[in-house]
Parts: sequence; C-alpha cells; structure tokens
Amino acid sequence: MTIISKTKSTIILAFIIGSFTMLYCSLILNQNIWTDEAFTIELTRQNGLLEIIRQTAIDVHPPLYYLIVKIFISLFGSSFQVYKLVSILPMLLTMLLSMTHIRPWFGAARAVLFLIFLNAIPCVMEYSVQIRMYSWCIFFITLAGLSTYGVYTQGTFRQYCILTLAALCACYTHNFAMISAVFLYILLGIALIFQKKTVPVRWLLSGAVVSAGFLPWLPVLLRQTGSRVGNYWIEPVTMKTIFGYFSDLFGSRLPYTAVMFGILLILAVFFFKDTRREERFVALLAIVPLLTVLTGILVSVLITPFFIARYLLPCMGLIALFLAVSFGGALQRRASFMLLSAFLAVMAANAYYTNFLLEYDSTHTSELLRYLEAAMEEDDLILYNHQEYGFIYECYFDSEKLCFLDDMDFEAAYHQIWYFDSCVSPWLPDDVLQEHGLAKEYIATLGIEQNDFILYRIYRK
Amino acid sequence: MKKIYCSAAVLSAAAILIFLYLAPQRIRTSIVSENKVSYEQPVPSVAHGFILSQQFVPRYEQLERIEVYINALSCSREEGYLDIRITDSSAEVLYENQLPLAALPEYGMTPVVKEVRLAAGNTYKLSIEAVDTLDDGPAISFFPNEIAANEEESGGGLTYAGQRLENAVLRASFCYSVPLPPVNYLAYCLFIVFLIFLCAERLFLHLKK
Repeated sequence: MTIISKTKSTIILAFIIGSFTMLYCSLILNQNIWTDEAFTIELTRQNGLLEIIRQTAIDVHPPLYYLIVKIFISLFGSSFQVYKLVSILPMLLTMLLSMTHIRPWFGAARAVLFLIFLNAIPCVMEYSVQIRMYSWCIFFITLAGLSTYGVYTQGTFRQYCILTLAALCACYTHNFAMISAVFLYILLGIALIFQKKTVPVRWLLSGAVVSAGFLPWLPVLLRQTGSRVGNYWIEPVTMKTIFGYFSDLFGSRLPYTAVMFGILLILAVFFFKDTRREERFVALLAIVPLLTVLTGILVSVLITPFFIARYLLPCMGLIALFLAVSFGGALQRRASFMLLSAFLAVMAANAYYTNFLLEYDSTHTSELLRYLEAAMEEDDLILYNHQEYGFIYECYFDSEKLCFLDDMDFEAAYHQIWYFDSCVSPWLPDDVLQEHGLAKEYIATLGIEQNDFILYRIYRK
Repeated sequence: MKKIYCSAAVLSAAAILIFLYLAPQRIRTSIVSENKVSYEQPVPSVAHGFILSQQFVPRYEQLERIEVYINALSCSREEGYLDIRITDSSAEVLYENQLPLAALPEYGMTPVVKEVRLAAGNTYKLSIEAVDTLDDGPAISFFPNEIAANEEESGGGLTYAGQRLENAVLRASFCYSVPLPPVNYLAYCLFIVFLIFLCAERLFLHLKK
C-alpha cells in the first residue's frame, strides 16, 4: 500500500481519535446508570480515599479505579457526566497509543486499523461509557501489551518502566486484568528466553517489582476470593456459557456480528505468517485473552463461579492490536484495506447506535426525573417498596426525602408522597392509606434503571 | 490484476444480489412485547372447561412465540395436556397446540405458541384449556389491572370460564421475528465484498509467485 507522510497520518489518526471521542462523549449526556454504576457512585461520593480502600477490601474489586474516580469528582464535582468522563478518558488514552506506539512500530495503516477495530468491537463502546473500571483496564493492559513488544524488540529501560507501571496499575484495577498482566509477563519471559537464550535479568526485576507492589493487596484478594466460594452471584460455568462468551463480547443487535468477527479472527490467525518476524510477538499477545478465559473457566469449575464474559474486556485492546497488525500486513491493495475499514466503520456505527438506544431509550429514567422535577415540591417524600434499589434511588434523590415502605411513618410531616410501587413485597394496602386519611392517584408506569414501577401520588384527602 | 479485480467486482455484485434476495427471510431480528409492571394473580384452574382466553392484536406478521406465566408446582403433571388455540373473529381455529403437562416447567414464562403467521392489526383470541388432567391443572397468571397490558392486549378482553374479567389482562409476552431495516444490510454487503476482494488479492499474490 502507499506509504503516507507522517503529517498526513497524524491528521488522519487525530481525526479518527477525535471523532470516536466525540461519539463517546455524546453517549454520556444522560442520567442513566445501572446497579454496578450506582455502587461506584455510592462508594466514591460518601467515602474518603482511605475508606474507599477499606471498603473495596470488603468487595471483590481492587481500589485503583475508585481512587481515580474519587480524585476526579473531588476536582470536578460529582455529576453523572464527570463520573462517565472518567471512563472515557482511558479510551482516549488507549486510542492515543495508536500515535505513540502503534504507528512508529507497525505503521500508519495498522494504527488506523487498530483504532477502528478497537471501537468496532461491540462490547468496547458499551462498557467504555459506564461508571466502571473496564476502560481503565483496557488502557493498562493495552499499554502493558505494547510495552512487552517494546521490551522484546528494543529492551530499553524506559520500556521496562512503562511495562512495570502499566502492569501494576492493571493489577490494582481488576482481578482479571491482573491475570492478563501475569500472562503478559510469562509470555514475554518465554519469548525473551528464546530470543536471548538466557533468563533476562531486567524481566525478572520488573516482574519482582510488580509482585512486590501487589503484595500488600494479595492477602485481601485471597480473603475476598475465599469468602466468595460457594456464595458468589455468578452462575456456574457450563458449555453453553463458555460458547456464549464470544457472542457476549462480539455480538450485537445485528444478527451474525459475532460470526463475522469470528471469521476475521480466523483470517487474522491465517494471515499472521505474512507479518515481519518480530511482529509475530503480537500473536503471543493475542494468546493472553485465551489464557485469561481458560484461567477464569478453570477457577470457576474448580473453586467457584468467578468468571463472566465482560472480565475479558481488559484484553480487547490486545485483540484489536492483533487484528490490526495481521490485516495491516496481509492487505496489499488499497481496495481491500478500504473495504475492511468501511466494514469496521459501519460496525462501529452499529455499536454506537446500539449504545445510543441503550443509554437514551432503554429505561424510563429521564421521563421520571423530568416529571418529578416539575411536580415535586419542597416537603414531598419519595416512598419505595423495592429495598434492593434503595441505593440506586439515592444516586438520584436526596436520601432525606427517600423512605422505604417498612420504615414509613404516615403521620410524619410531609406535603405529599410519590410512591414507587415496584409490585413486590412489601406492598401498601389501600386500607392503610384510608386509616391515615390518605388516597393515591395513579400517575404512570415509569422506572429507574431496569426497575420499572408504578408511580402513584399519595395525598391527604 | 485488472482481470482478477473485475471478476471480484462481478462476483461481489452477484453475491450482493443473492444476499439481498435471501436476507429478509434469513437475517431477522426479534422484537419482544412484554407487560408493564403490576401485581399479578393466578386463575385457580384452566381444567374442566375453565378456559382462559385473551384477545390480542399482533403488531407484526411473524410471531416467533407467545409466552404465558404458568405455575405447575401444585398440580399433577402425570397426565393431560394444555390445549392452546388461536382463533380469529369468526372463531376459525388458526393455530392449535397440545402441550403435555409433563413438558411444563415447574413455574415461569412458558412458550405456548410457536411460529405462527397472523395478520398484523387483526384481532385474535388466545385460548388455554387443560384437558384430561388428574386435577385442576396448572395455575396461569393474569394482571388484575389494565395498566399492565402490553400493546397487543390493550383494549382486548380477558375471559375466564365464560365470564369477562373486567380491567384484567393475561400475563403474556409476544415475541416477533421481523426483518432487519434494509440500512443494516450495508454491514453484511461490505463484509461479503471485502471477503471476495481479499480472496481475489490472495489469488493474485499466489499467481504472481
């Protein structure tokens, strides 16, 4: 293919990065969150840095992401958009790796392909705008993966430092990102031993630094894992769930999307023989997600179900890199390169549209908030009967105005009550209302998150 | 090279035409229409003539399935079956299915109708009756509140043992199979053309060697 100038490629890459960043930003202008995001908000709004570390030690995930969020909301305020921007930032950083690492090492065409592949993988766009740690994991693992390539081909001290730091951050962001980081080190070690015919000291040192750095959290991790044995929420792993991982990550609302990505991956494996010798190291990086999923399955089968498809998200940057390097080497003609780019651009548009619907059109949250903003008065209360959702409601409403049905004192001072009836136990019998001289009026069926409820207005007769 | 690319272009055009011909039947997506949230209660029996029927108006032609909430925990599932019928306004039976009680799950949303083509916008009646059972048969849930109605049930009537249940709808979900909007075919067409051009390119490289 024609080699384009550095300036031209910079403009093209900057344009693609800018466009995708704008798309990501357009997905966060809403008030939509789900349970795990509410957990992040609750944990970071109410606690200081030390308390966050203490609380995450009780939960299952390491603390780094929550600490980053805490720093950001302390600086920029705690609106939902700030939370969501914290997730977009690492996507921007991951995309910038196409300029800083991929273009110099693999060429501009592959840098372009990396960007489009990364954003066309359906699950990436979905999780990168959520108030969770997955986009940070993608950044840390992609950076660590690229650094292993840098170490393998150049072996500079700087590359080792970046690798060490990225791997350590990955370990402190998600447990399965840690597993991916461990495999990156193992595969790098094997490659270096084959290359240099001796055990590389710097590699050992870097691994030792990461291990020592993670050591303070290791007892917590072991305790967390131990306490979840037999009582974790993840369903047992069956053959069906294993086959489902691929479609969970690569499937979309368009039928056969996962099949098309499957074909691309098979072709990429087939074409890898066309790449330069040192580039074949990237094929090793593509084994990392495979080894991670195998570990997840093994842990789930032998100990307790601990693995779900989205825990592979940290490796999506590596998969995009593998596909980009392979196809970048194989596509000799502009026509096929343009066709692949066009196909991926359409898939990215599809991922965007799917997520746009998910963010803006899948719940009644905005309708409810609009309605209550107009109708709710100073002394009104919000009453709910779905206890598990109480902490999600707290993300939207002042906790002093919220009351769970069992704790409600109907004799208390209030103007009127907005009752979120999720049609679960406990329920509110009409005679209780009558006893207190109250009546209820049906407003609409609305909801927050995927929890729909009937909204009633309760007023004094 | 030119010849190979020309052949690839012709092949691509042919492949796209075949794809566009087959796609409306082969590449479809599902649309599910469910009840809105509400408290529910079961009818105590659908056996011995206690037929439960719900009027509905399908929104699309191809119904993949209709599911209703069945609780078979407290009935004997050794004998008998659920007789499921869809009739039109002239009481003509358009669909009939006999679902053995032994095949029912203990409880949950259960497909009672599978793969049926109806006219969108027309009114039909779904009837459920347990036949040859040892007892009252399974309990089937409904919502005693029309605000729970999905679009199909809205304005329709629920009848139990010949009596109209006022302000009530069957707990049911309607799953349709619909063709994708044509704009989505672009992704498949591009993929097909890419694969054909890729093969052409590889063939060219092979011949060059």
